[in-house]
Amino acid sequence: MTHRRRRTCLRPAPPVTLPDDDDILSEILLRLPPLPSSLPRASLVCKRWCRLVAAPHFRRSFRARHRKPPLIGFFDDFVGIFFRSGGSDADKWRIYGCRHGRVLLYNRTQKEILLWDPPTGDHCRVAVPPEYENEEKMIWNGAVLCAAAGDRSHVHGGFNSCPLKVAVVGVTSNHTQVFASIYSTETGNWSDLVSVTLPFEVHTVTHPGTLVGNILYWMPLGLGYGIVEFDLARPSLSVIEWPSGAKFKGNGCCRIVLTDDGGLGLAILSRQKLKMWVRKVCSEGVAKWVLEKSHKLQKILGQRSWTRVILGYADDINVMLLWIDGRIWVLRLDSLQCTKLWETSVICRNHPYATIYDSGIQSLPGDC
Amino acid sequence: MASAGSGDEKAAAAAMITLISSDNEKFEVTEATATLSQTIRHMIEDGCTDGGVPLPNVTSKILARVIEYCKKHATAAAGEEGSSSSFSDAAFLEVDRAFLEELEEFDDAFLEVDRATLFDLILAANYLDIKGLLNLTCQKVADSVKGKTPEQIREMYNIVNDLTPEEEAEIRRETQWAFE
Repeated sequence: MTHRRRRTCLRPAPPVTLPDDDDILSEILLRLPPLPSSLPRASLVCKRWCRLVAAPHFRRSFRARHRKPPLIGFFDDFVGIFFRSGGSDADKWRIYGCRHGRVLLYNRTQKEILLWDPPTGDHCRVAVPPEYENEEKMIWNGAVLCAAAGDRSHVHGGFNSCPLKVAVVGVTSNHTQVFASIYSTETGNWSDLVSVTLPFEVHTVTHPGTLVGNILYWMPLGLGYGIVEFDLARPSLSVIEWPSGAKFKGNGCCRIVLTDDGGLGLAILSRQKLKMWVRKVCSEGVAKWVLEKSHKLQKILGQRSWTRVILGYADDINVMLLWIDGRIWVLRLDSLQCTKLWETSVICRNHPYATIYDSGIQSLPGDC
Repeated sequence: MASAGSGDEKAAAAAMITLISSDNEKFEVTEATATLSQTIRHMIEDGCTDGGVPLPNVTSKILARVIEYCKKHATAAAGEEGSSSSFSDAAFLEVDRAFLEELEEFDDAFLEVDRATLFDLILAANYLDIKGLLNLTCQKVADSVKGKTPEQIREMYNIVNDLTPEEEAEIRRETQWAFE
């Protein structure tokens, strides 16, 4: 502080002002919580605060500091309505999921995927190769991810500066195979289509995939149970067996999840318990399923429950959305902390959305 | 003269450093305490501490508080290094947790200061490059701003709003979602 007036007994104490040093003020502002309102409010305080908060290096540090973004909200399957151009069913977009702050939608009629950055509204459309969606094949699901997701030092950036990957997964019309392909926004190319034969009749891939490392896992539905593994690096598709003791009633009570140590897991919600299966590699190098934990649902929720459905799951923050007895709940799988939200009778597939919401904050004219 | 290290018998044998505040008060501290400051660590490494380390940017009032913080946290660091062999894992974890709780309580009590002192501590932590103290004090200020409207923040820290109505309107338009 450069201006420090002497205090006299007649005058009130001089006003306390923040340090003049911009680096110190930036250090303080970096420690604001990663809530959507934090940076916009700070930028409205004065020109100096606005300039500091809008600086690209500040935004980068803010994202790096808050590596695990907060849950902003969730999208349900009707979100596609925003992208209708004519209002006809032909323009209908279905949401396939969100990850790393981006949302992926698909329009079957137009055979196009749409990548959306909700904070800015930026979006781009990409045509899907016609051979992925015809009489012989049908795309059922997809996943978006930041191309540098495996790099721990990477900080997700703006829509145009951060390359994305998009995977699509589908089923052949003879119900024997699952196929997948991956698109890179960096190269603008789709990979060769890969497929795998399932040991049962397969109909759909309804639930969004779960990203574990650089591998996406889906749970195809049909006359049997299994998990398909899409290795994005190679890319290759394979089937892994279902845990033999993992039984559940209804597809809405089972989800592929990330384990505490970032491995592949399976969460199964029964009337009384939340069971966590974990894929472990044993000493012979063979992977097998192990029932690792069984939590009493009553203990997690703090109350008894009768009907329950898993509405959605976000692997980037390990959060699950549940519908239990007419109410939405948020369950954080790493801490098993449960938050009760509002009442609703609508049971709809949901996509939890998490991001560091810092868009729209721009330098003032005249600032560097 | 304040002698911050005088009560510590173990420290008597350890190398001592003299820190000199802007108002020329001298503080004797152990090297372990002093080297929580990266600035002082570099001076020790360069052999520039004979005759005391003058700190023209830090008053005796603030330096005494900074030393209090460093002494506590230097003990914590020494405890972590030395205690693992004498306890079983479980006992060690128990001791560790108790100590961390004590440290947290210390930090909370340490931050019970007026704003002017808090800002002076931030400036000192920045100048002396004491990362833990800088983090602690900056977080305290950030927490005070958390959830406040721009008007409340300005009032709290005597900040003049120099944004023109047009600029303010533009920012509000761009970030309208944050105020709904």
